[in-house]
Amino acid sequence: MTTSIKDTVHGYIELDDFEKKVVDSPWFQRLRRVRQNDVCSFVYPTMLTTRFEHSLGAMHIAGECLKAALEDRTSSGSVRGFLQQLGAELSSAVDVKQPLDALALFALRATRMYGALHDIGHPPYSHLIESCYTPSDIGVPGGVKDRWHETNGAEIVQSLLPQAVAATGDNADVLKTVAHLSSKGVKTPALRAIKQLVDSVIDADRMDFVLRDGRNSGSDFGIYDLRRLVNSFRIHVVDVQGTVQAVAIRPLSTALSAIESLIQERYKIYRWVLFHHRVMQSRALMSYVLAKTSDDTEFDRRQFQAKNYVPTENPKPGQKAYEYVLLGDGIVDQHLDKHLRRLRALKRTLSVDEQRLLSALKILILRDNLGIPLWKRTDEYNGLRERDSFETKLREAFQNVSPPPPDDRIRSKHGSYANWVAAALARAGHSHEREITDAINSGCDGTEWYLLESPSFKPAGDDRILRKDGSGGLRPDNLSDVSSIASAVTEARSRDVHLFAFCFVNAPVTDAQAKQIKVDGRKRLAEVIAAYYQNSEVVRLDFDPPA
Amino acid sequence: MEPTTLQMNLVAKSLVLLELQRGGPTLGEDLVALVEERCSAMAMRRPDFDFVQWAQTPIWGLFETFSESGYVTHSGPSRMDDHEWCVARITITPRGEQFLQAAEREAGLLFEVLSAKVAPLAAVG
Repeated sequence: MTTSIKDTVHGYIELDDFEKKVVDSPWFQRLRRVRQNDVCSFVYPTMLTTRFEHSLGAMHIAGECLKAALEDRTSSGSVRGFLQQLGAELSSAVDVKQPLDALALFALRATRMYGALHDIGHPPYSHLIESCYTPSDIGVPGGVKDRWHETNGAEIVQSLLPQAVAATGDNADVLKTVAHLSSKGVKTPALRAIKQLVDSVIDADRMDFVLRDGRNSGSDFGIYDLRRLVNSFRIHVVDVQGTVQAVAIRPLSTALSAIESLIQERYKIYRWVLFHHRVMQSRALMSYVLAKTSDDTEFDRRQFQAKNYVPTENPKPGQKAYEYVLLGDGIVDQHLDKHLRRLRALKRTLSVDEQRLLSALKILILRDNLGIPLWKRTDEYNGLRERDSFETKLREAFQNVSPPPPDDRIRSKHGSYANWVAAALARAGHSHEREITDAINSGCDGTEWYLLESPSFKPAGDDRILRKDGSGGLRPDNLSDVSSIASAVTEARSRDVHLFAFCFVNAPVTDAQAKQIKVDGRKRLAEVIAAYYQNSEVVRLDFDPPA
Repeated sequence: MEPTTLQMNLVAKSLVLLELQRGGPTLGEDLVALVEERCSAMAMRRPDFDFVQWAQTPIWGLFETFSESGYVTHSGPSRMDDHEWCVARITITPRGEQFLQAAEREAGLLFEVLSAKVAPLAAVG
């Protein structure tokens, strides 16, 4: 018995009985209320992709890729080798049936379920909320290997979901395998190859969201030949004297046109949609508002802990889990709305902090035009070569520091001072970004400055594809060695401006005032960064890594 | 005085590099286990300590940062995922040692907390 779900990208997505049970559970239904791209819809109004539809799409594609690889008749030896290896890897953990066709079915089910559950622990507004609250804020144990959405996800997959769907037998084994796939450091070759179907560069996760986000953004991005790419997946097993050393389930180079399109389209979506200057501004403002309202005890941060939704005093499976469904983006929206109403209702003169918070809320909710970017896009940044530009100011500010920054290397390696600063911020784990932002704002009155670096994004990464060798066999190759387009996209990304800077003001300003604020802001930012570089040995180490 | 985010970041980074300095070249998964153990002790002394928050990244991101900054070398390929970090042998470089010295100067009292907690652990061990 299967259930079909109509999907905007894939037509119909079919679910078996157990998959339907999982999808119907509160743990999965909550994803309907979590947007895939946090604040992007503030700028692109139709960019409302939910993690629910994306998770179904990733499940579908992951299964199709593995199915194509398993059904290929020309590589039956590799298929057999992979399944035998998988059986050996699973035998100590789950009760799998040994015939190869049963193992193939189990692999397909586990792969699809891993695709479905790969985002299950994401809180409302996903990474944005996660960066605002520590594990201890929400009451989960801190670790060194995971972010807290992964801790939440592991709790759901390992414990809460199996209870909620009363999984037994093969179904319980599928969830147990998915729990293992979700963990860090999957070491065994066959399971690692399955993990990479959902978690690499050319994977079901990205293959789905590129199509979906491209379409939903309203842009003409995101189009590539999905069918050709999916059908090209093959299995390659490296076997040394009867011992399997490595397994790859990767696309063939015959689908290179589709692979290159996927990489190019993903880059465009990141560049023009996810890293749009107003999207970046909205992210920074959301973080600001959440930090400034962190003493609001009505907004209980422990609500983000998945485990809380099954009461320990009466641990009946699934009980109270339905409340977890309510934990969507709307919870955060209501929090913002409440503070906007509160501040607008105050009769007294607002303090400086309150006025800034109100301005931030007005930009986010009322769309008041109170934000001023120092530059918008790479082309604008590159146009800022005239007198008083940020680039010029940075160079001037660094002229008098000791030791002098390596100007020639900055030019050759980073293209611009802005990227040099952004790279240093990234290496420093963004701490410098916050410090510099604080330093700019100290002494400023009425204008709040923000500096932020676009998140780490490697368009092509070091993913591998399979090529046919002269003897009819397959061999893995680095994508960047095979595709000049993939290398070009990586190069293009390195030349984009990674650094965003903007300010927000308390009341609308004229164009002339905005222009002056930009000039002053660039100057102040350059001076603060130069002083920061000069005053700290560790900062200099981060700013100037070895060639 | 409350530590700055930079100081907290320095301490989280130093915690990992100190393990490498003490133990010499170490397998990634062994290093993660050592850091986890040290973090537990650290959290008892400073309840606000949270490794991922202070480092601003899970440990895999820190490994990558160290590699890009030249603070460590490793036996794996140029870019590595978490599994590859687990099986790679990681070694601190003179530049990493230089970072530790600078971090100790700049993190001030916060760094002393990190150093102080080593003694009881060693005694137990």
